[in-house]
Amino acid sequence: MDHQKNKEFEQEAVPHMDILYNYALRMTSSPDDAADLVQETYLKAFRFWDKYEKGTNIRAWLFRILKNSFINKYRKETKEPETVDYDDIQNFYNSIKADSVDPNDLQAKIFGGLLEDDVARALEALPEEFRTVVILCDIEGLSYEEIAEFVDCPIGTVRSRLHRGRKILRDMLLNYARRHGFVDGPGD
Amino acid sequence: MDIDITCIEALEYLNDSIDGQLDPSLERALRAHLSKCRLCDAENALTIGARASVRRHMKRVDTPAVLRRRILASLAPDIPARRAAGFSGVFGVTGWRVPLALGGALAIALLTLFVVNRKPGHTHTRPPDGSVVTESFNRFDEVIDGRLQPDIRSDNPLVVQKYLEERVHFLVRMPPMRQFSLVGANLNTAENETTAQLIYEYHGQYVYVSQDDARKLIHGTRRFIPAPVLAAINASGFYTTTGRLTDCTMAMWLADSTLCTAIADIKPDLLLANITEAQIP
Repeated sequence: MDHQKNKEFEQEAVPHMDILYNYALRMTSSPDDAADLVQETYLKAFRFWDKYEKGTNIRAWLFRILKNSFINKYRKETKEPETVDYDDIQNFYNSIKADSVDPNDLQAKIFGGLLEDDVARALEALPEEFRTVVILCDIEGLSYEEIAEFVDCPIGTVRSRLHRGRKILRDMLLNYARRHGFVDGPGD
Repeated sequence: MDIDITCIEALEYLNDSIDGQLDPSLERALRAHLSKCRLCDAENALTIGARASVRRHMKRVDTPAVLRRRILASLAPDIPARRAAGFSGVFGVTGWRVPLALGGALAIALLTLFVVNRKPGHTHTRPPDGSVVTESFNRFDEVIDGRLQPDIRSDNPLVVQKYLEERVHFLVRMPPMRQFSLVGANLNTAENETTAQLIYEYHGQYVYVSQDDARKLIHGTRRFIPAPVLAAINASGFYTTTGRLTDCTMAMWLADSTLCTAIADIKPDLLLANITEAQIP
């Protein structure tokens, strides 16, 4: 019986370790904390294996266990998001409009010089619910439907969190780009 | 017939378009709008650019091999389970893989082994001074002379880990220990701090592994990690000591915030190899 359970668990749950580890890593920004979270997730999943409904989305089930563990451990320690100066961002948009910048050049000009640290910092500063959907959609490449299953909410909620999350992220990246001098605009 | 959309609608459709989720007729309407609205087009370019930047810098990584092995080891207790069947019998367990028919005979045979291997004269005992090194040696003595018995008797690492983690406030580690058979575990509370204690067996010898919340011990006064021990762990990853008695080895290491201490009457290389999953001699 136990052997059967082990075998089943190894076949069904273990292959999804990478997506869990990547999500944990992006959420904690620490390989050690991510490893702890993933190990704890598998321990809990194995313990409650009889609660898993066979044939349902195993990745979503494992993900929800991991997310709950993350919330219990880290939510209170989450830093406040970095302040974004929305007036400056608005001014920047106005400058695009006024100066007739070619939109096709914007991506390379603005984001091309950003460092990994800039992106990691911006992602880390996103509120947790937004960060989760951005990671699942833009890094993991999941569909809206699967994300909805992962985070256990309607697709409309996924869509609005994703849009909002991307907008905050983009504005923070723009802020970093301006600080680096990649784009003109009002100084900090 | 083409649909005409406003800037507000265009901004609403941008993300769906980027993710390929937009209805084809709306996609055409959006493209037509972007071709004539500079601001919405810039907005689109910025959103795509930011997303591309995230994808470029936040690449997916593989799960570290050591973590994968650790998890797989804890899920596949077959090998230690077979080895552990005997000693779990000594402690009066049915043993999750011990055939019932062989239980009695096996228990008697191993009880003899247990008695033979008891070493009442084996003692490192010193006055309790709060040092986790001294404490650990004292407890190891209690294990080998039979005074420290497991509260839970199981050769299944998951069962043991679950039992301990429900009773302590730190992560309990289950080292690979491929050559050692898990016998069980117990808890010891001193100075309001609980130590998790794992007991393994190797060819009739006990291997004792205690675990503490290092965060409390590093700055502790009544229970503490001695400074030279901490320095050795920081420098090399391990504090080891041998020679107190022939073949008696202690290894102490930090696994995140858990202080682990293993003691056994075996050679240091064998103990370290089992702890670290290095090449086992």
